[in-house]
Amino acid sequence: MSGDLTLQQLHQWRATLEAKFAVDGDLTVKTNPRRTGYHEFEILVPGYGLPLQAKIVHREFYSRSGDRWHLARYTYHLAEYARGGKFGYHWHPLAGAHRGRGSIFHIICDRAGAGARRHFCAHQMGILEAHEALMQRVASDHPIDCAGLYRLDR
Amino acid sequence: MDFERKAFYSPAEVGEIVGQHPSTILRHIHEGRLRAVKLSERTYRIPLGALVAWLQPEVVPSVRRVSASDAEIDAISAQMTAETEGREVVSA
Repeated sequence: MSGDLTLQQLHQWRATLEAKFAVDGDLTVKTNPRRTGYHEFEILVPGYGLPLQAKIVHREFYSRSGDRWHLARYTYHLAEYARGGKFGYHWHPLAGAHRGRGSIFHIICDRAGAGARRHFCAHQMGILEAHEALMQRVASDHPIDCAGLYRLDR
Repeated sequence: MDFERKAFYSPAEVGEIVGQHPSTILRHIHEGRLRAVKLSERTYRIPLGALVAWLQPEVVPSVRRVSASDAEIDAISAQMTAETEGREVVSA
């Protein structure tokens, strides 16, 4: 969730996300009481004792300013185990040719059997929007491909 | 209720399981009572967990809670910043 949140709103938002993700597979929530700004949601699809088809991991870092918290970085990431390939919506600084440009919205896409992962242009994604887009990929009949994406300018 | 367990169901398959017409299942989806992933304008897939939750609303889906250590969180943060083209990214 973007915008400044109180601590209570942050906890309520986490509870909302938990309820939404829990019906999409086996959900594990990772937090740390000393690191209030971090949370991780891991969803094993389909769960319920069936063979693993895909794993979705959402990680968010919130930064504190006074008594408010705002989203500072995220990775919303899918790994397909049945068909191979990875796809993610990320927002964080990059190293290499992009060092020093601050946090950059980008997509990482890795087709099954392809070589090095590539970075592509992206806009800001809300966690629910990203989750839905990743679930669409898992539920579709097609494996991950990177068609139609624009390479991140160097 | 016994039915074949698989990752995703079409509205028609859900209709067969519960004895309702696919159009009724679509109405449940459109009215927010049944969670579905929209693949296209007319194509939906219902995750197994969503079907179970709909059939057994009194059962709360279980959630595993794990504590992430400070070192683990620091490592994840460092991995993000170190991500470059072609290098291993924060892995799922």
